[in-house]
Amino acid sequence: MLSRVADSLYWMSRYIERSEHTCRLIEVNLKQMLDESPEVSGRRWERVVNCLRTDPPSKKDREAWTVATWMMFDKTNPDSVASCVAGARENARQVREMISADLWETLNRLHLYVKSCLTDAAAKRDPHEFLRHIKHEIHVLHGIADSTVVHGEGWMFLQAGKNVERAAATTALLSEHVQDFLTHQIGEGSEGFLHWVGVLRSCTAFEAYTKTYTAEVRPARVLEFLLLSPIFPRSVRFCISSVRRSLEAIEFEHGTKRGAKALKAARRLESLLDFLQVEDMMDETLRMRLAEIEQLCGMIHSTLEQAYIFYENTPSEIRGAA
Amino acid sequence: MTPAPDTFSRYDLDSAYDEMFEPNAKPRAHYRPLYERLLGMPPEIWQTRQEQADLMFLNQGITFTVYSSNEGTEKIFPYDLLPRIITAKEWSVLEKGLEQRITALNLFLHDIYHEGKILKDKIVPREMVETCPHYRPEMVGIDVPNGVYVSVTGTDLIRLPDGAFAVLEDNLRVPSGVSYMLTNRQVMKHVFPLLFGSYDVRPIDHYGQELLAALKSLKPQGSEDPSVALLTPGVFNSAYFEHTFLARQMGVPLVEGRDLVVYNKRVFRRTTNGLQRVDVIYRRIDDDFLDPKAFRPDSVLGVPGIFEAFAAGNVALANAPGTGVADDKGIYAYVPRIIKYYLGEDPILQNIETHILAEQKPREMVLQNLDKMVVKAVGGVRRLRHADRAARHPGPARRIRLEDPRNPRNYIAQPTIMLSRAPCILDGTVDGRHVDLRPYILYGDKVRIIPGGLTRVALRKGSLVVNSSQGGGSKDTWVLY
Repeated sequence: MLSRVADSLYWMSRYIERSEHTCRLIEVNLKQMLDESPEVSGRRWERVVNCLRTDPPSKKDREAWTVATWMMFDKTNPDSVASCVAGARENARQVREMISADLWETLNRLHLYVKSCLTDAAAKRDPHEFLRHIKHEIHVLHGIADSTVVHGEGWMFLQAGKNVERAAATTALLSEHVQDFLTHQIGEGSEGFLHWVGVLRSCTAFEAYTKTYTAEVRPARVLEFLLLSPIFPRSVRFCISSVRRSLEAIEFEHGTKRGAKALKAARRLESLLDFLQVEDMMDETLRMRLAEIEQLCGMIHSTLEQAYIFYENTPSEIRGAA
Repeated sequence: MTPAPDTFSRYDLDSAYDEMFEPNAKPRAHYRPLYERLLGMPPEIWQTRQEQADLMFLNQGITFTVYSSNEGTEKIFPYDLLPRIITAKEWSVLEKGLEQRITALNLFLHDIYHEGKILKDKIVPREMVETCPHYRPEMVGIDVPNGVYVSVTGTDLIRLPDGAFAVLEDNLRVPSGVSYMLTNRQVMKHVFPLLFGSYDVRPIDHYGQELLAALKSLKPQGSEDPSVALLTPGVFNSAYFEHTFLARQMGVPLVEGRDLVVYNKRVFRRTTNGLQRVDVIYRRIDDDFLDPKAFRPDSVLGVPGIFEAFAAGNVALANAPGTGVADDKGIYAYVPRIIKYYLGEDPILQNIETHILAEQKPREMVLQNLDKMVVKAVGGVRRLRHADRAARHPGPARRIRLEDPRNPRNYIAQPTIMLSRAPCILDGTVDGRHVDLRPYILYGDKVRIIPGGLTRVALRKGSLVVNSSQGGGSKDTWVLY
């Protein structure tokens, strides 16, 4: 597979995942605002922005609507939903011959929808419909991809992109909430409950959590679930195991060891998660561990790109008889 | 049956050949079923079908890029619902004529880049060839695979008032539009399945397979199962959709210049598993930009060293560099003589009557009849393509340039041409618009012609300009059994 094509598939997948995550985060926070006490409201959108590892132009203005609109519709914001959908579509456009016509058409339709909303005041007044529609279409997109795209090497790059993005986003989200937890001691009671349910909902994990732990929501359990669950598809561990399997599949297909560094980073993170005991370290240790996890996600990303995409043109790279 | 007053009320017949009607306003036999369907169909249905069709193009992203505007840089190519129908008899003439023409032009290219017999015999003036901007001296003495220079041609044909097809232009470099031919058919089958089923239309869907077979036949020596790639200038090229479409139809990688590297006169593509050899390249990049080492040094789209690899016989390029000399406006006038010279046959498809102003007698005649002529500059210089434009540039200014002895390659002149007219659905009625026809000819080991083509439509009433950039559209083209 062409390196450029692999790169586009990887980024298309990351952008799709990022759009969905951003949508969900905004939606959850818009809804939670309705139940919140005045003292927490000030921090909310500051935290949303931090969870997404982004930075609005106006540092002071953390008013809900300003931030939400900027995160949804602003094309000058490279992390906005509108920009991410356009980015996914642009990457797809460059590899149209590699993805199925159905997948392309659905993504293109989503892009046309977002574009039409940018100039539609009514759509902006009803962000819930906008967010719902995008989330829904992205779920459809995953289904179409799964059942129409060849599960070969390209598929592995799609999966790697999705899961690296997901793992990094979940880690960033937890990291910010742990920070908040340690500074403000948000724990039990209705406020704490709402707070941690919000965290779960941001990862569509509330229902899944209750099936494991019942509706008794405790910070350490939430963290444990979202970090370590081996069966929940948005937990960091689940995502990293999937990344590791994708990388192994690519190596198997190539019959080489060019992705050794990326695979090593994935395995290292996987074993770190294997031995993590959240309950024992609800303190500064956890914050540092989360930073380490985020850093390893970044390392998987950069070593993967180096191995398959940005390698140097040298005669030693020539395959087969020259 | 007489036309319903509304359906055809705006449809005028004049001196142009009409695809649907005889001069006495009776529908031609092969258009009769369509004609009757149209009479029985309320305009609201056309409206919904048109919307369905447009949506199919938009959702599939079948668009071309408009360079001027900023937002919404992708536009759909307007699609007309009604098919253009060609009978088996008409087609068999076209088929023979195109095969003859392409065979002769290919022999001509081989000759001018080798012994140059036709130049020595003074059938075609040497100066006319060697001053053509598309003539590539780098190609002299290079042997191309199978002796085939032109693997893909899209010949522009028009229909003269007497109904005969004539060649307007031979596009021998990187002709485009074939994706529209193929998608127009898909859309047609989707929006008018019953009408389509009621005719015996020859299929065209195998174009991708035929193209791949033609390309594979160009494989360099020693390669068993050649690796084929399609080289595109990239996503910003106006025909990018077509490049992705064809790559998908053939199942070959779509590569950009930056995906290819040349080592030791061999071409490789950068893959996730290192550098992999490429044997045959269907390139959709013009000669000028193909290789900054051989041609334009400022090209960032091309592949440095690819021409050297080609010259060494290690990679096939389709079409070969330097084919543009044979579709030059000046050479065009000589094509009937070229056919006669190499094949000893009379041309089956006629040329538009063309006067070569480098020759004295025709020049005098043209200068006396400038008001009835369209004068075209040959190669390089901006061309006055059609009657429309000629009308906007009245005679005297041109007369001065024509007589300018410093113009080395001079001009050609043609009588004002007329394109045939075909029915289109516009604003809820059926109206006539001028059309041309671009069939696609493949040549690898043998000549293969797909029974169909792209019919382009000048959507403005009375206009003869069919280009997509200037208000042109297209329609599905049916060749009957």
